[in-house]
Amino acid sequence: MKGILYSRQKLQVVLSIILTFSSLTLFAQERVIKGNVTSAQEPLIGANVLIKGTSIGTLTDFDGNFTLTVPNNETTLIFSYIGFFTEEVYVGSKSIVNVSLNEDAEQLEEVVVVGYGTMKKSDMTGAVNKVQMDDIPQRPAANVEQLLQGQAAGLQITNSSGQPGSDVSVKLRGVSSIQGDSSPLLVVDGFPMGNAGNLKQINPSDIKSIEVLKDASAAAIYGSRGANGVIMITTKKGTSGQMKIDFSSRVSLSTPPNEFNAISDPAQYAIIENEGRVNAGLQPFYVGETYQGTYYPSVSEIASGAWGTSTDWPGMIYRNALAQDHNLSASGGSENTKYYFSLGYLNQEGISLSDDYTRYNIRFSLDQKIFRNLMGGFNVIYNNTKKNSNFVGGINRSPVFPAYNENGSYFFISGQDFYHPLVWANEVLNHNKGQDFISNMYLSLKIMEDLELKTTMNIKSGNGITDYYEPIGMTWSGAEFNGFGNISNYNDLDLLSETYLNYSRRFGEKHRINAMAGWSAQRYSVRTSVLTGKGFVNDNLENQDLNSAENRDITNSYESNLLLSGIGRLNYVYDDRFLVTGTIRADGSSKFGKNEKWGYFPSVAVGWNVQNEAFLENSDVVSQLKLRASWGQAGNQGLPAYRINERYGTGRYPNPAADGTFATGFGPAVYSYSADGIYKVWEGMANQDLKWETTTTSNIGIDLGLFQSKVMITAEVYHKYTSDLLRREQIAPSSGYDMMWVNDGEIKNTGVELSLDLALIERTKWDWSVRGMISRNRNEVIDIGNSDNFVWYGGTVEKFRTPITVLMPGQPLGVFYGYKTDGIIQTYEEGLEAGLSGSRARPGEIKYVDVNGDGVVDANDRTVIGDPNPTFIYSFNSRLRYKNLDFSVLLTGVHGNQVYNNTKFDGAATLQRWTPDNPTNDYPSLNSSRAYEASDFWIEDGSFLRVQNINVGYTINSENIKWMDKLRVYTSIDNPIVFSDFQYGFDPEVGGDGIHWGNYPMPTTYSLGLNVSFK
Amino acid sequence: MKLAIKKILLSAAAALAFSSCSLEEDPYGFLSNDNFYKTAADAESALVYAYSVNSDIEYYSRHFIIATEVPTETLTIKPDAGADQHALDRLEVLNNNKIVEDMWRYPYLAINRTNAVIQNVPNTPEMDDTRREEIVGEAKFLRALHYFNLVRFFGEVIIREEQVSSVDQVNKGVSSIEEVYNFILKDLTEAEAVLSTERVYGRANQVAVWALLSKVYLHMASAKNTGVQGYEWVSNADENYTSAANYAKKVLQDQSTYTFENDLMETWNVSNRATAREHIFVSATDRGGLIEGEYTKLPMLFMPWAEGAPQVVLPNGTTIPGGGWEHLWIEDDFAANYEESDRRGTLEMIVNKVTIPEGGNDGADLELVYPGGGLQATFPMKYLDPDMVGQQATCDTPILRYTDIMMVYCEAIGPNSETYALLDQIRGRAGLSPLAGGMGIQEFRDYILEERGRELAFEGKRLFDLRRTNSMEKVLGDQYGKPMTSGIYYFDIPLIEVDTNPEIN
Repeated sequence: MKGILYSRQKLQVVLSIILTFSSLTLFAQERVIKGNVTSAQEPLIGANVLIKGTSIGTLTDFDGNFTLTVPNNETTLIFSYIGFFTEEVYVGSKSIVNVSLNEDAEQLEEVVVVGYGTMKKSDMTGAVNKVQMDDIPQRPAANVEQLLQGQAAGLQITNSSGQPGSDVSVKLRGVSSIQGDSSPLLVVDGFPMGNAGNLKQINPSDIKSIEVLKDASAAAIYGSRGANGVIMITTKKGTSGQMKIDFSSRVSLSTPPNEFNAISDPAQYAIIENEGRVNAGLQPFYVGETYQGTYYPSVSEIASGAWGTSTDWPGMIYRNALAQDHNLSASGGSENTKYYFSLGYLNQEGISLSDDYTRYNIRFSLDQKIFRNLMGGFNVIYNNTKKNSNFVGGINRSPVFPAYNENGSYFFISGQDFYHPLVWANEVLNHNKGQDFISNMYLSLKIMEDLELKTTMNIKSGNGITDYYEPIGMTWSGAEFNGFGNISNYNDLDLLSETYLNYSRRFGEKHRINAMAGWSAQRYSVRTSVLTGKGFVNDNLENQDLNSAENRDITNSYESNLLLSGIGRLNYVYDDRFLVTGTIRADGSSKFGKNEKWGYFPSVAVGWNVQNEAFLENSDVVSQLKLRASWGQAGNQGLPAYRINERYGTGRYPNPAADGTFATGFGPAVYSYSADGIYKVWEGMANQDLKWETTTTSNIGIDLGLFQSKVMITAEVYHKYTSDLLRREQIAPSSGYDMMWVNDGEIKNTGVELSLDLALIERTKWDWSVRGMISRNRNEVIDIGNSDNFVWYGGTVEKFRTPITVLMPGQPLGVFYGYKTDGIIQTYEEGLEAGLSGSRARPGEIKYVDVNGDGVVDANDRTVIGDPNPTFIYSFNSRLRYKNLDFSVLLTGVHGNQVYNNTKFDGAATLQRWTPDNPTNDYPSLNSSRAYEASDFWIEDGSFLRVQNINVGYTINSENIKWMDKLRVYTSIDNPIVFSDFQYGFDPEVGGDGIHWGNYPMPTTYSLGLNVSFK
Repeated sequence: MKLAIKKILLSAAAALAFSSCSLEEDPYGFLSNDNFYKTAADAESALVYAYSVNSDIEYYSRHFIIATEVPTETLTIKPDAGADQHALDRLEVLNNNKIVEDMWRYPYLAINRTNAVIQNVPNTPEMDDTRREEIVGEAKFLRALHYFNLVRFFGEVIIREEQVSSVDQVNKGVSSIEEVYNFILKDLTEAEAVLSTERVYGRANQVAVWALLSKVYLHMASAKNTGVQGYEWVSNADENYTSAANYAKKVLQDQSTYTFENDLMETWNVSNRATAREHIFVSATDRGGLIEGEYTKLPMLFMPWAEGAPQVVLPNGTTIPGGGWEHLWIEDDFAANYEESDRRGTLEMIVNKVTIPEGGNDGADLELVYPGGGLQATFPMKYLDPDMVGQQATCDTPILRYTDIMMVYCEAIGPNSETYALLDQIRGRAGLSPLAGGMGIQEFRDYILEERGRELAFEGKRLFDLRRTNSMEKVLGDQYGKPMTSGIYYFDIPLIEVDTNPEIN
């Protein structure tokens, strides 16, 4: 504690230097004054009392009393309290100053952050969810998106990997864009930071509130990037008064799942492997012979115990992992100057060996009144992340073989055993370091009472370095090149300048308008390079001296784009009853074709505050009733730069001299690797017609508050229609290209959202509130491609040699496509009858269905076999307080979606295979050379209900402890249980494509934490 | 209104401190049609890009050999190889087979590059006209080669005469086999007119054009002669045999750059590859490359695993640095097909044992043999690089070889003293006695088909030889007992093309 106090003093010293605009405090004629602050004869607890022109002040106590030392008689005190008009009192010779504050009805009302300004909640016409960070249970998370799980209706956050520091998938109201930017735009204090997924730059504990803008009326002001909704993040700022210090700390332990889809018994494993080979007509391995340098014991040798080795691979790969998270902030200020300073530290171990993630955040923000009508300020953020990631899986590695040889070296099963999990964990270097520097500056000039000009300049500069090395001979690249190392550099710069005018005025009794107009220019550029060395003398230096490599390889890239925009908004409120909002944004993007650069995105919305009508004025039941309707358009420009240009590729061919030198060629088609890193994907054809993708959204909403708002219900119905879809289309490979970017296709999303807030108990001793949300989104592809059938959506899945998701008119987005199956073939005749032939008709094979009935099972029989889109998603949050003890639980669920489970016939599942003695219809026979077709055999129900977090805390509010304001200690469990019918695999929560690959498992996490506020 | 907004915005934006506010972004880091084909160096570079695709993994450096040899009697694959390769081995080839898909994708990728050359280089300013014509001629040779591969793999295919550079060119239907052959012959005839016989390693010249022409005519002639389905349109087998013979004769007699190599092993010596007598056209590689395709791992596919030893000594004394993947295995029945005295079937060419120096328990040399101890199969001596670095080898895939053309000539002409002499020359190199003579024409051609199997084994010729002589069932089924269900004479056009190109039914 001494350390904290010390640093607090130190901070004050630093801050007093920084606050150059504050006046000097004179200590002559010091004296103590007392007083009392009330409102309508009631004491105001915690009201702010500040000496004008300084940062010296205090707060009123439980009886509204305060005591303050003032420097002299020429002192003016400022009394302020949220929701009340601020009062200034000249002290003079008074020793007791009693003040009564008057309520400011407008200020008391909740304010909602919208693009380029704020609005009173009662004036809002759009569909906006506000999330107060204080209402979210405290739980470990590497980014704020994870914390938003279950916090806003229609917002689906999918966390498909338990790897520390990994991204999450964020979808708002389904998917209306299919490639590039399909998640909402994140805007932090007015600065668009890109797509939601991993906002590592902002420390979650620095966030005050989050607004989710869902409909076009709210999001269209972000024009070209608002099509998938906008998430507005407001960070904490200083408030005038004494310095407030907050400290929070948490330690967590994550444990891997109890069960894995793996065979742990080595004899069983060998039987399964042998059977697969024998059924394929191949020589079995586990017969007591040597193959490719490895002796494979026979099954009897293993079963009798003569072999003696048995390796528990899941136990070797996974571990209990520790995490810690500490945050410190200091804030305060005077009437003219407000500051906020924070430090954050997060360190998470992964449950997979050698994985970890560390994040540091520093933030300083300052708001300064420069002149009477001029405000200015800045916000500086620095963050630093470090990540080691070496996960390769490997739970299904043969338990017959040891991890190490007797001499301690790694045991490799064959010459091409390049996936030894411990080699990857311990010997491969994959270390990423990232830094971001963000600076936001603003000036705000009150030109007239009603007219304000704001101009901002924002800079975000990020860089990342990945150090990578695969040692000689132990991994694919290490063996191919005799050691493979590289350094990947990444550097981006985002500049945004915005200037806008805000005009707000009341005309007469009943008319209010609020208008905003301005422009914005944003340039984004990113530069990368990868320096690779191949072929090293030994592994000692890893990638530290790439120049010592036998071969060196360099790639570099740069891309840049510019967005110019004009924005405008007009709100009109009549008698606090009728609301109209119109917005327009024009965006010009350098990414699009010559004649297609500009896009115009309008919106209009109306609202009716029914509770302000005379007939509801005296209602005991209805305390709030608002009806809203909106229409508008927003866009999407989520594609890489230069897709309007033809891009040539390059390749080398040996020179005629055959002397080891090469000639360099250029020409059509350039490749990149597919997502799984296996196939080259050729691209580079220009498309000069590329233009904005446009989403038109209509929304009808109702906000209903009953019984003094103890019951709050919000319901929304929406219809989103996206046209000119931007997508990377698979084209005929005979063209010499595999993919190209096109505007093609239309998608419709319709849905309803319902959220219910109940304040069941609100008493001194007891508080109990419950919040439930449910949303349903129906997604339909209206038109796609020039073929009347379908186009491929995802990339090729190696196991099936084909993509497995498609876009097909009349179907939801990304449905699974392949063969229908009808159990397992039991006799050869049955197979032939089903239209199969050759080895595919044998007993024990999957019985694919001849859908078109032409007597042959072939590609024409493929059809839609499943849908990864949920019917509805829901969440439930209950918060209970008894005196100082609090308890909360958060549940999230997804229902009605299907998952394509690639691991369905792996590991333990293979024990239930078809055999002549076990003529099951659930699993085929084992066959190690079977070519599986994409089929509904692999599809499972992906519905689940997850207990996301259970949190128990105890709060000490102590008036008796001088230095402390509040202390809360808590313990929590994250992901203790998942209810689902999903078989064997780790977890049914999979990425957006609905395909389960056997990813990084989700741990269960136990935490212990404390929050303390100092005064 | 829109214009006004735009004006206001642009003028406002101009006031910014940003370096550039034009919405026209200058491309960075890549060339395109706009800034290429401007100099002689550009033209050469465009041609290099067309050549370089040949050596990609997915084409001649791996998949072509797998697609043309594994379905036949010559090679099989290790048990834990991918399902698609096993499907090829069984000739149960479905239209989503990824190896076969590459036999579609990569020729077309290459054709688009040759089309870019053929279309743009004639307009390249300020370059030597002779060289300009040669570059276009080389590109036409390459285009013909790729179409010849396509028509032999798939039959009816799409003819693309222009570089695809806009979306409306993408979808196109197939042409008949006849049209494809006419297109090939036109390209080769035009290439023949502008190329010289000068040897340039890894590049095509007039001799390569003659050699390819002889093979194209022979394919048509023999397919017609033996009644291969799809070649009914060929008007007259004999005329085509004559054309094949004429062009083969040019290779044998009208040039002196390439000739018969008397040393059986020398053709496969990678250190002399640039001057090897027999290699008329290869896809070139070099172990000094940075990625596979520049170097090759073709030897790794054949070489034995050899327990991961750092050095492996072959029976002929050659030391290779470490073993390979033992991925492609010579089939026992095929190896048994060589006469006992045939040097091509013995240790010299087909290896069944290697030695690991000091690899034994007591420091003695360890011998691995097949069958029985340490090796899974035999492997050929055709693809070896004793100087390979890591897994990076110099090892060219032969595409046109002198002996191949000698046999094309013999098959086209039929039995006479000249052709017997040529065949005896090939036999003699293998240590075999001269032929007895007296064969009828069909017997003679059947013999050549067998002899081609032995002589050109593992060189990517076998599937096409069996297909063009209508002997898939006769040889693979009857003689080697291979079950065959699909993809026998033609592979189906890959599913990915059918699914994306509505012009294909």
